[in-house]
Amino acid sequence: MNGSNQNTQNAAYVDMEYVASQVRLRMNLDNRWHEKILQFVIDGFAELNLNDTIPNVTTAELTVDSTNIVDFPRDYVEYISIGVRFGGRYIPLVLNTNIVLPTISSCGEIEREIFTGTNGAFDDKTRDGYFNPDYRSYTVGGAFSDAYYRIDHKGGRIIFLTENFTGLEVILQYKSLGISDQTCIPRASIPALRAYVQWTLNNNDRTLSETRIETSRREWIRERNKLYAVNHALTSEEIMDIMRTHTHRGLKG
Amino acid sequence: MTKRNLIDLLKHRLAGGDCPQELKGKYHPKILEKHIEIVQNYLIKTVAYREAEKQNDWGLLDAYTKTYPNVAVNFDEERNEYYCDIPISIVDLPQNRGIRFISDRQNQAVQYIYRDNNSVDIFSNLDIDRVSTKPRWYRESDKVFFSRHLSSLINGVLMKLIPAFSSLEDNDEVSIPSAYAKSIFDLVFQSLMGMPPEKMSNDNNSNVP
Repeated sequence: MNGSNQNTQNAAYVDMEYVASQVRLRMNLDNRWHEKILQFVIDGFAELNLNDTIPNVTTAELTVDSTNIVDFPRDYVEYISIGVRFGGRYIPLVLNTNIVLPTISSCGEIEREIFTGTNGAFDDKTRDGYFNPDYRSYTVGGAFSDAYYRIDHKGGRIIFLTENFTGLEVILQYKSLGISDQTCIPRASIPALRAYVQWTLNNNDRTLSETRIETSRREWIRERNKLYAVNHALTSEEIMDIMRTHTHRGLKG
Repeated sequence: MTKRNLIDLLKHRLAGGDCPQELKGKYHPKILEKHIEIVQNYLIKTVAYREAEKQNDWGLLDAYTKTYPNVAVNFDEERNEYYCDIPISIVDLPQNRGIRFISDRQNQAVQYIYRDNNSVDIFSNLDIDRVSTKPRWYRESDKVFFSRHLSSLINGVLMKLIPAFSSLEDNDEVSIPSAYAKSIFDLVFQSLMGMPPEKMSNDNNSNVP
């Protein structure tokens, strides 16, 4: 990010340093504040991502380890889809909440089991020579039903129930916190970030009146809502769809 | 006015004119230099710094600043940290503002970020530590230490410092807060009050004038 000074000029997307510098310029703060302001910008950006004001979907390719587990990326918030690349196509895998999560032994050390096998009772058409009443063909779903996954939120990882997945690249599409040294911030979100930093600083300034603090809080909420409206604005087609929802053609007699 | 001019002017004042009777005499320039330093530090802190803080205009300190374009960076093996010695004695101001600026030698656009001496622990736990790769610095007595973000290829940095009066060269310009030029003499006189009188004899006996 050191070279950001040249890269961000006249760009539609800027980096965190740019936003921090702009905030410092507006508030007339010198270099002694830079690190604090930059952290506040990061906090503000994370807040905007967490509440979906800035939609931030990222794709990561993760390698499955020998125990059929992959850890979440650092900036993971919520997954959208998990799949594999097969024959040039993206094949989504199937969620299975019956997979047993690995146990955690003392001092946070994870006891990792190897998860293999299939979906058990649901996958066999027959059991002991008779028709299996638990068999449901629709449980297989439209996705890649030979491999299942379960999200271990507490452990911060995805557990796969399959064989021969070790070393395979799994594609994870997820909602990202959006924080890294490569983070690009759309210019439209700068006013909201500036308002967030201003509010954070005012909120911790005991010399300011309640009114002043409240004013900056409202300013932050107003800017956040404005940004949300911009990022979630309907397209003209969506608007027309809504308008036509209740329009029906009558029978011609 | 240069440093030499100021000392000469003060010597001239102390030699006669409206100088208080008990201060009249000859003083060694080094003694005067130290007294002026005390007064100048006081004026920078109480006048220039406060005004800059009040107006939120740190440019007011520019007049007192001197640039050192190549200060050597060394490696402290025991601490596994890069550091450099502050090349001169500086005026101590809150938040170490006596050190105004540190950057790469030939790229002032990459200004190193100031950190409080004991805040490494806080910032290293936060996102900022990996999001921004700019080097951070903190002061420890007469040294400046750098964070792990400083490249090992950097062997010198540019520093802008507010030098103490004694660190100025004879021909360096001395900046005095505006309208305080007269006060500097009064304050030096005050500082000199209580000084032992000029010794007239050469007998190495402090009880004899």
